[in-house]
Amino acid sequence: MKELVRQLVADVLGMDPGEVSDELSRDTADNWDSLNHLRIVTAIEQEFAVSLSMHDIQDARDVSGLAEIVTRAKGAQ
Amino acid sequence: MKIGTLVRRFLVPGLYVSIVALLKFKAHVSPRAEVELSKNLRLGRGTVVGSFTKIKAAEGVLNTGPGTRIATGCFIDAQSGGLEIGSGVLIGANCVIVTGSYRFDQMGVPLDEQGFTSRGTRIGDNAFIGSNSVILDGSDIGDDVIVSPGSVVSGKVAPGVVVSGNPARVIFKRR
Repeated sequence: MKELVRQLVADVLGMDPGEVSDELSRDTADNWDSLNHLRIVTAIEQEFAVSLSMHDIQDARDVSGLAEIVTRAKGAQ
Repeated sequence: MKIGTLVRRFLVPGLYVSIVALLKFKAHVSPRAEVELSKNLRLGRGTVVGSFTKIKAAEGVLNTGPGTRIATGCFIDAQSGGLEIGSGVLIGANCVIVTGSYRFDQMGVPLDEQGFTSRGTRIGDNAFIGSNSVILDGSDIGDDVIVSPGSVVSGKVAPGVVVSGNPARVIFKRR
């Protein structure tokens, strides 16, 4: 799952998937701004067929965090 | 240009417009804004119009709901199709909102000789239009929509979404 999240983040941010580590975050990636964060969340929701809460969306700051909230959302289904 | 339009546009002092807007609509219009006082203009209570914003409502109706705020430097033109802006709408600086477009079905004929169409534009309640966005004729923006700065909107936008880009596309559904 984390691999797919990395791929989605890379697609939205226009990066090579190899450059996207688990630690890549909104603080370290230059173009991971608020709009791209929403684009990433939407891509994740469509790919994994989940609906994330605004609280989770705001809290997730890196790739690991995104994978974590997806796991949680899938578990809650 | 009709004499009435000429007078409204060039001979009415900004301070007079501000006072009339305050007394008639309880709206706050900057004396440095350029707002045509026509019978088509209806500003909601508490509407704010920032400096250097130009509002034309000679050809069509322009309604704003209560509490709408229009920042500095915008151009808002209500042609025959009209412009409806809901309540609590925030419009950022330097936005352009138009309600008409030139016909362009004849090649080789100047556009201003081909006529003008106006379908009208609507912006729903509590929408946010980011700075430097352009809202084109025929746009129908739903309630609670966020238009990210610098976007170009044409057509229908469903309520409660965030749109971005040129042309503006939905990037997120608010919840």
